[in-house]
Amino acid sequence: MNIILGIVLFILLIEILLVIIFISTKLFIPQKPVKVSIKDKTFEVNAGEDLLSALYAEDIFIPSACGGQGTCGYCKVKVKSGGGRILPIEKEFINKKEEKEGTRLACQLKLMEDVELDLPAQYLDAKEYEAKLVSAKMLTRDIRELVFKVDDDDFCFQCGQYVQIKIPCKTSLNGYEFRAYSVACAENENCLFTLNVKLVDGGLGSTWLHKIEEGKTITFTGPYGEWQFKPESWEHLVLIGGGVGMAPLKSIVDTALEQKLSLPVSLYFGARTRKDLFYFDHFKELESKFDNFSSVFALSDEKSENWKGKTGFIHQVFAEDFNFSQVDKDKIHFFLCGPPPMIDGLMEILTAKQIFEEQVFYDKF
Amino acid sequence: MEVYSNPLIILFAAIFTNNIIFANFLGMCSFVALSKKIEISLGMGMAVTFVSTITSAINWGIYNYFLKDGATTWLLGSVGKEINLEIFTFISFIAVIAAFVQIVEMAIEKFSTSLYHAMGIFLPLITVNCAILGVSLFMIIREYTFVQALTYGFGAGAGYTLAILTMAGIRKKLRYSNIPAPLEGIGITMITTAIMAMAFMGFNGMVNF
Repeated sequence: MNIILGIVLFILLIEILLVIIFISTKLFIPQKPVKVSIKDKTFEVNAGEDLLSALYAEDIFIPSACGGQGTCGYCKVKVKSGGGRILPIEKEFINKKEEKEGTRLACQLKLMEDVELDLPAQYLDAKEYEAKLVSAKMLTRDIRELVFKVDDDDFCFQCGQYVQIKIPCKTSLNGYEFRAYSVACAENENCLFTLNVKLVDGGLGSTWLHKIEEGKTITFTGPYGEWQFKPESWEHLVLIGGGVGMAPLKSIVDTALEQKLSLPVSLYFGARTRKDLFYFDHFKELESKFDNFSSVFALSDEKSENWKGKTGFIHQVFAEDFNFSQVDKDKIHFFLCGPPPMIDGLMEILTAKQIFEEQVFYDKF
Repeated sequence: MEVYSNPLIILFAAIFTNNIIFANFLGMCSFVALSKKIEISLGMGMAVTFVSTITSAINWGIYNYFLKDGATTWLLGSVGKEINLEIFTFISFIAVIAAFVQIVEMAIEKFSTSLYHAMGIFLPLITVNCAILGVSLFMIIREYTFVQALTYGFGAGAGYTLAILTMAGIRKKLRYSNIPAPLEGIGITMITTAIMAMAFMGFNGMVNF
């Protein structure tokens, strides 16, 4: 008797509580759809959804590598109105200036009211493509070169841009995550693109990309990247990189030389040992073929006698080697790509030489 | 042991002499985890106060009108005298607490998204916060009346808020002190809590129960 009555009462209690929760759900969570507007495009989504998945559902592929966890900081968008206050998790990636302009991380923005966005045009151009791995080889002990052919003839990238590869991931909510890789070949009309992937211990993207076999089809979004190749306004292009920062540099050098421009191009590249140095012969060949191209390679850890080139860190080698007085200093353009200490070192050198910030583009990783 | 019945004394006792953190050491997990920033600890304190006040009042009603030995007499007449549903105390209390935590969660998400994200997992975890269940259980052990239960529930929440706010203030200062590496973070927080608990024992002479 006690037990039966107790259970009946308990069930009743649960029912009453459920009704109370149901009523407050109606009260607190807006039911009507929310409007998202980008320039002249407007679409409606359910309230409570995050902006990133809403944009993906509308085939707007903004960069995002971590799968909406708020750990990569790639999915920055400018919010003109609506969207609520910036969250502490976003402040890791958004500085004071960007905050003032309304920059938010799309994955953390929960749509509770109508929002108006300002997206760079290139994000609207990025699409989802499929590509087939046509060839792959190891460049060094841990860097693999992969050549992909895109199915879609519309695909067209510019040098220095990057793509985001969809990597299957069991632990991610939607079953995949994106990883960004720079394209490492010249602009071409054959819908081909090359990636250099360095194997990182336990890295999701690199492990997967090192394992896939030729003939396999992958999905990616892109191309992305705001850097623009403007040879007409420069008198000298200086590219400085280290480690896997090679990829965009090679893309730019190959493109510039294939177009047979007279623009002088200097490449500075740093690696640890001779074994880590890749595309060395490729650039040496280009150097002998083109008068306007020069390349300097420096090794920081090389003990062997066989190495005839420079030794030391690439930013120090650059500071000693580069002659700032040869052309109009204001018309040199710098493209830096490499690990943070290298970029910081280079920025110090360039600031000391009174190079304007607008003349320098860098990508830290 | 003398039992004070004046709700004001119960309120005072719940905040100072019988502080749920410093005297009973309940609800320590959220206390340690969320006392890093003053705004977050204030939000957590307010959420706990709200939930403990409401649930102690509702649980009082459920216990005294349904679960207590012979409490169902008003409903079932003389049959009710035989009925004792006290074994359902815990599960009913937890159900009520869970429901109200849900409501608080929705309300906080609506009114302050940043607070909602800052509190993270600890907001839904108020459900299994021993401080809240402790309040409801103390209230029936001490056989409080409705008004006493309500003030006790509010007092315990206010006591929790006071404790977590003072701890957040101390931890803010601690950030600039030289703490031995093994004691950084939780270690020094537990030691500070113990010292504060001893300080709060000083209130014991004023009201005791």
